[in-house]
Amino acid sequence: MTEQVRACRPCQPQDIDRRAAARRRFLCMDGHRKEALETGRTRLLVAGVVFAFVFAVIGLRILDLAALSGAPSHVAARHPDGAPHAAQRADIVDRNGNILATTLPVPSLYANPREVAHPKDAAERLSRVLPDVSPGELAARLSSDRAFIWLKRGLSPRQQYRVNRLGIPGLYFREEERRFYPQGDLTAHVVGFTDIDNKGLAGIEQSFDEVLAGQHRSLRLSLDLRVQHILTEELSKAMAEFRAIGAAGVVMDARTGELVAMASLPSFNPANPGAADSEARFNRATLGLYEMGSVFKIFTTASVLESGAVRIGDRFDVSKPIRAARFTIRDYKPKDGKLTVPEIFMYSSNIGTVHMAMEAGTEVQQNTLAALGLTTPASVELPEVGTPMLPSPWREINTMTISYGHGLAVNPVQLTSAVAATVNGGVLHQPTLLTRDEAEAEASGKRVFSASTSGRMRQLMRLTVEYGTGGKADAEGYLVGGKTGTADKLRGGRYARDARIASFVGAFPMDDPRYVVFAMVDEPKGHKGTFGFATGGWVAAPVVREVISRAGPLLGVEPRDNVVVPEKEEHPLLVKVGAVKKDVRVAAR
Amino acid sequence: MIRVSLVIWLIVAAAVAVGLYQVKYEVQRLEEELGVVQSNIQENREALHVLEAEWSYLNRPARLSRLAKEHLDLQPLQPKQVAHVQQLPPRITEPENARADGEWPSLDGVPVPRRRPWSLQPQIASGATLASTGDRP
Repeated sequence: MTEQVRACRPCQPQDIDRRAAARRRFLCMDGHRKEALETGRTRLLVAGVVFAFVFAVIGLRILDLAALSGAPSHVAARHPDGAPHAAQRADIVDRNGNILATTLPVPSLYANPREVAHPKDAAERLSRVLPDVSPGELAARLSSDRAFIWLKRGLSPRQQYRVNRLGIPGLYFREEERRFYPQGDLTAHVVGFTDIDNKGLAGIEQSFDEVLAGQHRSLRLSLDLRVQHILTEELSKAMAEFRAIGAAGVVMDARTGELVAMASLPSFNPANPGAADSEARFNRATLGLYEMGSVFKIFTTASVLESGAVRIGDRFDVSKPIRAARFTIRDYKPKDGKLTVPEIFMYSSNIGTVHMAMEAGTEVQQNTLAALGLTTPASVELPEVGTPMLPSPWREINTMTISYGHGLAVNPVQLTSAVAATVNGGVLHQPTLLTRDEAEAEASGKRVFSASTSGRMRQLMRLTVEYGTGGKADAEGYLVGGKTGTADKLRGGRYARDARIASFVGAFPMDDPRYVVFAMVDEPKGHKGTFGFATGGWVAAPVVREVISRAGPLLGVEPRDNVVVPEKEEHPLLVKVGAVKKDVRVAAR
Repeated sequence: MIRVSLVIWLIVAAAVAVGLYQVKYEVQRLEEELGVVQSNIQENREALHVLEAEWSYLNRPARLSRLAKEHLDLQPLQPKQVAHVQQLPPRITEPENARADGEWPSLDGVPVPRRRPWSLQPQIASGATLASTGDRP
């Protein structure tokens, strides 16, 4: 291009009149020169456009950086809740938002031994501040030749202050996250615990480990802390009174299957699970499998009524013990003559229940128990869930014993949800520890019994509390209905006479059950106040009564103050029986 | 002409330079302030988090019930203490004895009460029926 321009230069100085010359030159430009000029102009234009575009891009980007992309600060400033920073494990809260588990920053002490001048002296001074680490171990760690070694993780603020005051060079702190359980042992079995690196090792902490690690939103459980406290307190009172080795309790929403409270005693401190023995860490409510005894008569009675094999007015002879295989089935408190179904249920007659079960047969029993979820592990959101122990093969004798709750071991949570299905109109909801509203429950529920069978069972269970073995569970105003259970424990293949499980399962209010309460005491021992009895009716029923009368108002169940209990002889279900004596004293069994 | 425009441009350039300088330092100052505010927010959040945990720890049901037993005269709720709104006595808001002419009636010059004393009779009667059915046989 330069060459072409220079080529037309020589003519320039010769011109005198510039305008004329320009005109002439313009005119005289031949095709070759014109083309060169055009090329130059085009190139200039292209370059100009490119530059303009680039500058425009840069300008827009500057505008964008300066004015438009300030969002993060705004978001940070206006975030409504105290959102923790990214790496923090989410909280676990109860249904009312009370914190059950949270993550707090704690200082951990480490050392760079190469910078520690006098390891022995430093170890001695440190051991005065950190009493749970021995001076010898500290000295050994401080005199190693590594550049990093933990001395103690998770210091209290006071300990941190005192370590700082020692002024030993070569000691450093690092902020770490530590799981903290404000409720201590109250919810230990449900919430579980984590290891020192905040990895879930038990309970909800383990089953929701990834969820908790990956989100900020707190995980809401179905537990109600107040009910949990009431249940735990009443169970531990009963444990102390009857010198029992353990206890378990469940409170379940009968309409949704939500576990409002779930307790297992003895409990442990989740902040230091290593110090607890395995007995305390064992979750009796989900992992423990127990032969529940007479509580199972609920399912037997419901199944035979549902199948149509037995009608409510049918009578069965309970005067003679049943001999089958090498067993003899007796009643705890033998009765004479024939009893109707309601009487068999409320006096908890083993013989009568076996007769009823045999009317319907093994298949009905198996199908009902399977439909109630008693033959498969409960689907509750905990890693610690026991698989029911079934008889194999399921012979006739097994049908007989299972009808009154021996020979089939289940855990308390699945038992409670099966009872809930029996009383709530006949729909089984899988037990859950997460919140579930009634619409969801309706969608996922499975019908097991007809509404009329369920209504009949409600009457029978109310009867048991009004006149039968469960009288001590009658919380005034709450129309409690339920069933007692007492089962001898298996020890080395035989049933022990002195070791038993006393249980009671109740629901309230019985005209439209809202909650099911289960209480179980492991190996209670009778005392003078109970005339030496340690049966479900004496041990577990009072626990349920106390739990219901204390928790009822909290759960929003309205107590009635006009509950009328007719004379036993006048009760519609019992009126046909002339032989019922008025002074029958029923020892709960 | 050229000189005038040149001077104007120089002045404009100088003004822009000064403006830029001012804005730049203002921005820097604001950035620092923002940083301080943000770290304050973060600190407050962490403190809030710790305090929430402490609040939850201090509100353990076991501790509350112990404190309530020690310091309060409260007792567990009894079923008979629960009542419906309908069972409450009616609330009287209108003076009942007012006459149309605005004068208050009087007996021998002594004005009668503006409200008729509310009678407990119907409520006692209904309460009595409730009590009799509520008693266990």
